[in-house]
Amino acid sequence: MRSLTAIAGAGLLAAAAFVLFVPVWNTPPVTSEEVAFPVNTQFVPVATRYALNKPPPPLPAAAQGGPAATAVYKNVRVLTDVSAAEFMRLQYAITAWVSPKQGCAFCHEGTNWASDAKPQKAVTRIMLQMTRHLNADWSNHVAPAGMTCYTCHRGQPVPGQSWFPDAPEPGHMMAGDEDNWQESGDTVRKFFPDDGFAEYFLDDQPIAVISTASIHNGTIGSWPEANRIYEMMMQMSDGIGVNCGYCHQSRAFQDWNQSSPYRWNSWWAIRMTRDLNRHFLLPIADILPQSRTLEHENRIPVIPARMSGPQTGEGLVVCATCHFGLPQPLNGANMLKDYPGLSRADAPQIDPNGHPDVAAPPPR
Amino acid sequence: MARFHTLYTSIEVAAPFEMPPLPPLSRPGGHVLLGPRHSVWLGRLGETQLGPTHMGILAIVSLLCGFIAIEIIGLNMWASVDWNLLRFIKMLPFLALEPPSAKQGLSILPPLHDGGWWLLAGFFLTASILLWWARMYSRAVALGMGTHVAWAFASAIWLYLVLGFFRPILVGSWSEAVPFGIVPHLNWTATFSVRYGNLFYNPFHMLSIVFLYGSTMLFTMHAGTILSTQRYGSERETREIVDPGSASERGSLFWRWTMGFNANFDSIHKWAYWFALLTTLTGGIGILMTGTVVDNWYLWGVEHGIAADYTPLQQIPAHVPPGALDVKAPHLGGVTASGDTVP
Repeated sequence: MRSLTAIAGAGLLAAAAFVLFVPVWNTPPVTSEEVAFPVNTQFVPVATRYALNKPPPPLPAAAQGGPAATAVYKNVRVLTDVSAAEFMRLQYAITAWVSPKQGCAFCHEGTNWASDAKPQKAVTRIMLQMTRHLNADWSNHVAPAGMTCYTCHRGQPVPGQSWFPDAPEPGHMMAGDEDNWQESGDTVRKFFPDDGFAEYFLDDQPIAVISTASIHNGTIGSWPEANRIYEMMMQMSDGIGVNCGYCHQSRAFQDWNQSSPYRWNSWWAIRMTRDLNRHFLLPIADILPQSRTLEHENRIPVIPARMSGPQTGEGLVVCATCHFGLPQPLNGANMLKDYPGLSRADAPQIDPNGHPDVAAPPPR
Repeated sequence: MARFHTLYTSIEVAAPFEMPPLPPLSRPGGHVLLGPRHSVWLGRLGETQLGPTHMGILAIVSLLCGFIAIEIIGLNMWASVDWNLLRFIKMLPFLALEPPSAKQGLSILPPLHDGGWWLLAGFFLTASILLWWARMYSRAVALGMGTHVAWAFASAIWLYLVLGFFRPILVGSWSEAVPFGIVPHLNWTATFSVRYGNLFYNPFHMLSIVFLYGSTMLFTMHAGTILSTQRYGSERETREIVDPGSASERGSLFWRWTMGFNANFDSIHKWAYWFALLTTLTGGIGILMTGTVVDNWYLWGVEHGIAADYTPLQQIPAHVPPGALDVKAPHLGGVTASGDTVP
């Protein structure tokens, strides 16, 4: 009996030591913050998130006037509406934001600046078009801060919070189509599967699964759909560092009348993300499959067996790609005002009454 | 006095084993007994005598079925991390054995990789639980006891069967059932509530919560009363039911003094029993009605006067006004973007 007690005691101590020392713990105090409307609190290590969202200082302004970029440089296709000085300033900025280690040679072939030999250059053109399109046509989501290359890239050629669909995973003899749970993160939500993202961030799958009738009438969405929407919404929640109540009323998630105005912002964001992924990110994957290794990860890897190798393929945009865990990327810093070339000169004014085709609230 | 305030038992009785006179397994209606042995440390919490654990045919088959179910679940989870033991331990909170996909409907023979293993695990787990129930029942009868414990257990089994068996059958798909797994089943629960318009407006869910929290309250009220009157003989609690003594009278008077009314030494056990039993009974009814009778409990609550019908706020129009979102979120401070004060 005495030896049994000793064995049981040793086992308990070993289990306690395992729980205490093996997982990565956040050292208290874990600070949280209220992001109003209505009051709702997100328990995350906010200090880490603010540290991730510091904008770099702007480059010195370019000289006013001077010849156009197209007059000085050869093979200028996208930045046709800026001066040569602003054009060169932007080249330096992009290098610092996207390829600080690789330098100009990341996109350019030697000193033959006009050459299109490197696929990275074609990718950069698409990215510039995307940025200008975003700032000009998606102001209902990105205004007034706008976005720049740095919003996503943060000094990495492949943005660290990109979503890579279908991360390579070997098949199994027993379990078949299990969900693709992530294996690292500082919040539980970061572990949630990304299997449903393609339906909502690439395709136009409606995000509506809650019945608008009280009594069962056979119109409610399917269970797997509800599950996918939950995971996608949790990605959004974690990606921008808020809880459900930031946009929704928990008593009636579906009711726009009881939602906060931020829900509109997110509504636009989902449409914007689909636009970016379809029209800019997928074409890039054709030109230059992207690869990400764990050095790009801002999270602490737990056991990166499946994810330790490079992930290649289509790096796509989700909420966290720009937001890095805060309601406003870079905590709302307006970097765009320092780089006018990153928006189109002919940006259309948004129609304040042009509204989405959401089902009207039920009559009362 | 201090010994009534600690978790640990300070008086341990050293005595010969108490052994029931039972026939061995080789005879009809026979049994295997595990133990008995003495444990000083277990005696700190309960009896020093460990066992004899009764192992009849029901118990043996039940444990076997339970073992098979746990094996199926565990091996599927292990397979999902490529049989890597370290990843299995670290990812255990997130690993799952999922029910069949929606396209399998109520098929009882879906492919193993698409819910077949889930059905097998569910079958063996259910068999194990039902056999264990039968064991509880038959042991109570063998001892000449009432079968109260078995019926309280049956109430919990009811909720389990509603979640994984009755409700999926009523809605026509196994995919609606709960996955095996720690975080996956929590996600299932959260999604379930959101999908059906917030389960807190489900009156049977409300009842279930009342009985759950009521159970814990009654439990501590009763235990506190007994412990606090122990010096007057309340440890002879059952004797006091038919022959109220000082402990019973003091305990009862305490509650009449503090809240005007008291259960007695008999009825408090019925209260506690029914509160506990009704927790899962009402909860099961609430789950069974969700998605079969009612699809949106909040709207149901509005129609039946449970929830308020919130008319649209002027400050939050259905169409967002231009410029409404130009305000930095963390600094909103109770004022909407358009400058109106939130009521």
